Amino acid sequence: MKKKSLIFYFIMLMLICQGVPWASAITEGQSAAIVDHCDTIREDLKKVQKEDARVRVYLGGYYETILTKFVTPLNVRLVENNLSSADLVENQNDFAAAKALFVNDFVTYQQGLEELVGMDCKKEPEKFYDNLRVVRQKRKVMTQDVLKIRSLTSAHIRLVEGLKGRL
Amino acid sequence: MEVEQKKKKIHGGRNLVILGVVATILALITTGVSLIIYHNSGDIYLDRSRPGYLPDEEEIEQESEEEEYSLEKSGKLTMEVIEEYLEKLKADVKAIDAYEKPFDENVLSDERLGIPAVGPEE
Repeated sequence: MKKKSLIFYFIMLMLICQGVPWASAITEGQSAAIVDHCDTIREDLKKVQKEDARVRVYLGGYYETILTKFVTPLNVRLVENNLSSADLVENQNDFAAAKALFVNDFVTYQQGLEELVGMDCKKEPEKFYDNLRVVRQKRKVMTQDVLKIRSLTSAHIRLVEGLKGRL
Repeated sequence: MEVEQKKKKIHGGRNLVILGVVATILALITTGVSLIIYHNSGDIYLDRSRPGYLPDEEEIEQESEEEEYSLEKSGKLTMEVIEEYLEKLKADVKAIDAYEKPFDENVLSDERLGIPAVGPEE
């Protein structure tokens, strides 16, 4: 029984290691390239850091405007006009939650990126590459957050257009 | 009498130096703690007023030129109000969409960073 369990756990561990992208080691060629281009890579990452800060402010500003100058006042005004819509209120809550998540995920992503920039890729190319993979995943989350907010905005527009028939 | 006065003078100077040093140390500690909180809370990543992250002149000009719209929270809701609302909202959405591929995944790809991609045989 114990032997069977051990074999089972071993197989599971192998499967997990195959599935997790950072569990595999990098090739010698990649390691050498990271060491050779370490300074250039770090400079590129610093540029990405600055550009991302710009994008965050650009998009974050619009998200804030949409929430505080469009969505929220509309729901208040709808209540005043006895036209309150549960879908629009739900949309507002989802939008506010998605906006907060966008900011939190950005902070997490930037922390990872800063740690990566601060690493000595000449000394630890493998660890650097592992961290790079983690940062890529965090960047992917940012893309998903942007898409989520965009989809909520589209849903809001559709709901408001649907209001026209009730006026 | 003179000796005592001299001693007092010496003490006064020394106390002033101690006061200065203590004040400097306290200022350094509080500034350090503030910076740690600023960093650990993540506010540093949202702050574009730090050196190297300041907005370009173009961005500032663009922001000041933009017309501010805000829906009034009270008043009758008419078709005209909704039409104007949608028009302004769609303009903002268009500005968001104008930013092509925010947080593009390819920016951190091996190819972009000059790292050779792993081949199937490797």
